[in-house]
Parts: sequence; structure tokens; C-alpha cells
Amino acid sequence: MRLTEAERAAIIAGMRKLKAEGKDRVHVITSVRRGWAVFREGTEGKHKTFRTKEEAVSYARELARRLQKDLVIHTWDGGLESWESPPPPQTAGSSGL
Amino acid sequence: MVRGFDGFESSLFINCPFDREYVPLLHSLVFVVFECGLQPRLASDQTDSGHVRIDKIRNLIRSCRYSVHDISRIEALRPGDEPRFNMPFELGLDLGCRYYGAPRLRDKQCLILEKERYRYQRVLSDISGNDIRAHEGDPKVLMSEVRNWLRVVTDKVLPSGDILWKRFSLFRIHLAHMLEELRFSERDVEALEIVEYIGFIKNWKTSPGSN
Repeated sequence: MRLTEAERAAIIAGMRKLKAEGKDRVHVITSVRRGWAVFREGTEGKHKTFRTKEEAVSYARELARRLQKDLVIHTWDGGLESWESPPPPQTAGSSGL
Repeated sequence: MVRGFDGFESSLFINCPFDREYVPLLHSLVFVVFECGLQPRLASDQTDSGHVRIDKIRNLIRSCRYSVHDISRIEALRPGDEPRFNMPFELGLDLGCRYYGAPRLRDKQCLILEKERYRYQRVLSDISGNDIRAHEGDPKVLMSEVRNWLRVVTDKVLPSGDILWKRFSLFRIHLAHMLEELRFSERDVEALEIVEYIGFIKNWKTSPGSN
């Protein structure tokens, strides 16, 4: 699958940031037992599986946001599809109310 | 004196298509062989054009205790294409050397891969009774099948298919990073020599984040 320029740029930026900061990542991959799996780097023995990619990405995105880690979504053959950095956490007094 | 037995016990001959469509499967296959502690050997890693290809194949078969033969191209990829017979031919050489070769070669173990479970029976029924597994054209299924076979024939303790597939996804990030630093274009990536690819795996396995 060919990446768009924007997708490629996002992946490169994520890799450079990782190299600089040494952060772990949350990954979405196809599951050996069908469906899709989400795992955290450094805990490869554990994962959560989902029937659809959308469910896996939704869970992973929320997990990455909570843990403030980058999210990497892989293609069907293990390659890179996209790389997302979490939004900064909301600070006290920023709710806008 | 029999030549070519250095590394015999830890070498695995890979006989597979080298077309563009097979690249994801080939990358998965080479990776799992490495992760299971064996050295993958392919005819494409013999670059001396002074040798006739069949001699390279014979030497590889003779110097590897293990072999994986993917015969999925017995059916043409597209209408109008011809089926490929090199893979079944090399499989025949490998099976034959167990009976007609040196005594040590009788211990050779081989795995036959196909895309669909019983499709080979339409064109190659002689091999029925051998260990034949289907990968469905899916790199993670191929990785799992090869891992399960190696678990039996090597009697090694191996990571599970799940763990190996996750490690492969981590390696792919490292590979993408290395290729970007080396200024590889997408066309270069698709044409990556298998020797280079093996070099990247070795580089990743010695890097801090790989274990």
C-alpha cells in the first residue's frame, strides 16, 4: 500500500521524535487469531484483541491519549500505516467554563 | 569428503517466488527464521554470476539441514501468466538428496508451503503425505505456520506466533527508520536485495530496543 506524502511525513516525524525522546508506543496490528490486536511496547506478552480495525484503533487511541504515548497503526503485512502523537493533556483551568 | 557442511545444523534453505507480490511473505519468512535461531539461505544471496544457478541450488540444499519450499506459484498469478515450476523442481532436488545423497542428508527436514490447503493435489499429488501447510497469502499466518513447524523439528523453545508477529511490527519501524536515514525511495524499498534486508534484521537484533 503506497503512503501519501502527508502520511509519510507523519511517520518520519514520529520516528525522529521517538529517537530524540525515547518514548514507548501503543501499536495496532492484525491479530494472529483473526481480527486486530492492541499492545504496548515493552509488554509484548499482553494484548487486547478486537473483531474490527475500527474498534482496535478507537481503543488504542484512547489508551495512547491516557498514557501520553504515540500510537502506531500497522498495515496488514506489518508495515507502517500511520503514526499519531497524543494531544497534550488538559491542564486545570483549561476547560473553558 | 563432503563439502559445505559448515553451519549445516543451523541453516535453513528458502525456496520461494521472488516476484513483487511475494515480498511481504518473503520478509515475514526470513524474519521468523532468524528469530527462531536459524540462518536463512536463499539462491538470491549467492551473487557470483560465474556459477550456474542449479549448482548454487545444489550447494544450498546440501549445506542446510532445514528447508522451506513455497510452491504457491504452481498456479499463475494472473490469467495469461505461466505457472512457475522452479520451486517444485528444487523441492524435488531437496527430497531426492535424502535418498541419494550422503548419509548425513537423511536427517534433513523440509516444510512445504502452499497458499490454499489442498490446491497442490490437482497438479502435484506425489508430495501428499509430506508436511504441507497453507499460508493463505497472509504474512502472519505464514510466520505462525513456520514457527510451529520449527518448534517440532528443532525441539527448541520458541516465542509464540503472537510474540513473533509483534516483534516483526517493531522491526518494521526500525526498518522504516533506517531506510529513511539512508534516503531510500519507495521504489528502492520494493527492490531491496534480500541480503540487505537480512542485514537490517541483524542490525535491529543488536539494537537496545529489540529485546
